[in-house]
Amino acid sequence: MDLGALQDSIRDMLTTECPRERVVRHAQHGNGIDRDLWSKAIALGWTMISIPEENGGLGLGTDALALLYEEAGRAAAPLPLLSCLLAVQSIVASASPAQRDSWLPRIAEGAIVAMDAPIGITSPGLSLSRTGGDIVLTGTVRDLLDGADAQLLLLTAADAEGRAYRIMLDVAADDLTIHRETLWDRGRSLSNITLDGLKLSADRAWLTTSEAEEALVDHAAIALAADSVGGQDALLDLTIEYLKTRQQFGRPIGSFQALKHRVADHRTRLEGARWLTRSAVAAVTAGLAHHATEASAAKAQAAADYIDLGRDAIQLHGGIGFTAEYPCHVFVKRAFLNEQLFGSRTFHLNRAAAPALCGAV
Amino acid sequence: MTSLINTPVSVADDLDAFRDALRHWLPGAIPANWRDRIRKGGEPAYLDVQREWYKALADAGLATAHWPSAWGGADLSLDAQIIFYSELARAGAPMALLYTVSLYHMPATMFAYGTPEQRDRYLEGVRNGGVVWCQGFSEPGAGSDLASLKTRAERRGDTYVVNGQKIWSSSGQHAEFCLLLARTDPTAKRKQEGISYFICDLRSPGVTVRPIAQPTAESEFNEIFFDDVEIPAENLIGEEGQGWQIAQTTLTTERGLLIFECVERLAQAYRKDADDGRDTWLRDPVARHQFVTFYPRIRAIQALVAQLLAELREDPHGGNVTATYVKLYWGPLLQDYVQFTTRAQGLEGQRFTEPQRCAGHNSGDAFSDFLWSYGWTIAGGSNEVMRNLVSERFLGLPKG
Ligand SMILES: Cc1cc2nc3c(=O)[nH]c(=O)nc-3n(C[C@H](O)[C@H](O)[C@H](O)COP(=O)(O)OP(=O)(O)OC[C@H]3O[C@@H](n4cnc5c(N)ncnc54)[C@H](O)[C@@H]3O)c2cc1C
Repeated sequence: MDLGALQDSIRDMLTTECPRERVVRHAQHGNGIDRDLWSKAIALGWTMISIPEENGGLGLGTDALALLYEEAGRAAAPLPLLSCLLAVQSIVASASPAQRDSWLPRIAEGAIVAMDAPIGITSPGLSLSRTGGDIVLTGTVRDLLDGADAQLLLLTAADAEGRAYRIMLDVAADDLTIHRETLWDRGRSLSNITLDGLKLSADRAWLTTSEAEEALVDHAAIALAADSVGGQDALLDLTIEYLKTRQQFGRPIGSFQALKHRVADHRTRLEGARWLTRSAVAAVTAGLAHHATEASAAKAQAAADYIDLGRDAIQLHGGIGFTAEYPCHVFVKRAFLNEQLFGSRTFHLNRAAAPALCGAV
Repeated sequence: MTSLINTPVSVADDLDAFRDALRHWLPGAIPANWRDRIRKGGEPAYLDVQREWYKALADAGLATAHWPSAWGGADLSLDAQIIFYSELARAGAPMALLYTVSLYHMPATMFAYGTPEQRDRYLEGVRNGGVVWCQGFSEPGAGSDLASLKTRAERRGDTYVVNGQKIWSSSGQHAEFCLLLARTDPTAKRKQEGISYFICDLRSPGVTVRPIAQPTAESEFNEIFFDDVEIPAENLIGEEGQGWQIAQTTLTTERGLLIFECVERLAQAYRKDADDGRDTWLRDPVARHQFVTFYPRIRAIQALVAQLLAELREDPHGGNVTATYVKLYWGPLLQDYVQFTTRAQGLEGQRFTEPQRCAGHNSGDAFSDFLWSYGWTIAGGSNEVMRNLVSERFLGLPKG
């Protein structure tokens, strides 16, 4: 598969179907996923990218997904890609063949799956017990990304012996009501879910391992790093374009050195974040020993760079940057949320530096 | 009538008594549940709260107590003002946001350049009538380069006829009057020389005000369009062509005095954040370290503001240089602080909060506070413009 061609096709679709006006309108009037856009992404098979070939997908790896995330970040697209593709990975890594056959086609057809944070970032919110052939779930899952837009939930649970599971819940069939918590970033939302003795058939659960969960952390870290790189690229381009066209004192404001130097610094940091993220993608794709370090380093750094650029981008635009009709704020809100999702800055910095601190480098 | 004896203003010379009187007065005077009312009721509720609060302040003689006596204020001492602002913050009072221009920009301008008639009429309108003003300086093509403004005012007999457009006017949709800069002489040699300063009644025919949506889910600033709007010649402030010079006075107030209350609110918020975070996010050693580094910066801005007030007492027209430092210290400090608290709150800080509108710049809704901090880093002379001013005017570095 030619990844360059894949990236071009994703970018073309988002340029046409998810232009700036659409994203800005969504930020003002929408909340959560842009469903029409999601239908188009499904029609193009974006959730098939990492589904194995024997399940009808393309069977591509992290390198392909990273391109998708980068493009989605560039467009600031309100899509549940991360949630759904994490779920695919969890199913492929840990579920039984029968479970794969029942859930992967639904995801391929467009069902949105919300995932709680992998074990390692938080511990399982649900406790699992058994009666007869059924499982019983109790507990609270917090901060479930895209939960209110999801048809399926893939949650973590632990049993009395401390074994960890992933459990698939079906929002409609299991009669769940999910309340939306609105975020500043209107392209995503969070939900908290409390279960009080929900009984499900045992085939909804599969055992997960710490390796599988750690791999999900890597995946989420790379996704958010790539999204941040794409977002920075777009926001920096937008800002540079503005500096070239906006005139004050009879000249383009971009001719003031104080402003030039700042975008030069942001570009430099972006190049660092871009290549660090690619290096992390390579490490994870090839299963190199330092994959966790590299993925977390990319996430922590790219998200922080994105925030710093975002802060400056509004400033460099002046008043227009502080309007809802201009896209700056959409990127800025996305940047701040990226830093907090799937592990805080502190979590990822510590994960990144752990080998160095342990003298294992 | 018993309450007359201990109104805060009447005991303002005795600081302890003043504080006690404020603590006694504030709980009954602050509009009850104002935050909830505004969060649920939006713009109309915000207006109600502002009007109620302003009336309470005005009835107690406190709305304009911060005005120097030369403006007809109570001439509160510096220490009394610090107490006043910190007690407001401590009691969770709203800021009188709707009246910002009425309470600061307009009186500063009138005091320095208004005729006695203008002063009497307009200062009184604010003092007792709660008249809302806005500032119409910026234009789409004239922001940092304010002197290039294009809005035209042509003299025809006893009136000026105004055509053009202003933008970013805070509270413009609610204001009765506008402090308006317009070009009266397009042929003047320097662009600064052709500008005049007017009082414009926004209810005049030909005025259209359009609110602009902001990233905080508010629409606090506006575009104002002028289409053959007639302004009586008596509404000119100062001389024709003196507008630029007068505008500097208005801006000095914006850069200095206006920041005083905000600084006291930040100092209060810092203590509250320390209390709130002690058992949660301040346990993180990194967050704690970052948090403590703000303490000296907050003390420094308080000291700078105190210095500015001392200079203004000596010379009500002075304080230019210090006001510039105040502005350039304050904007970035506030923005750093609210960015820090946003990030320190983790995912919690990313949850959308319905606007509280007038809770100040340290409202506790950290991300909203972060967005609003641009009001201080862009408006009234951006950080970059302030840096140019410091380096070129004060430090004598060559112009770039
Ligand atoms: C919240 C808010 C409230 C406001 N309220 C009012 C109001 O009530 N009334 C009113 O009249 N105006 C108001 N303003 C407008 C404000 O004063 C202008 O936004 C400000 O003067 C900047 O102008 P601009 O937006 O056109 O940006 P520009 O001047 O186009 O600036 C864009 C960028 O270029 C930089 N820049 C410009 N010139 C230079 C230079 N020479 N050297 C280096 N950098 C430079 C700026 O710092 C900025 O980063 C408000 C603005 C905001 C954000």
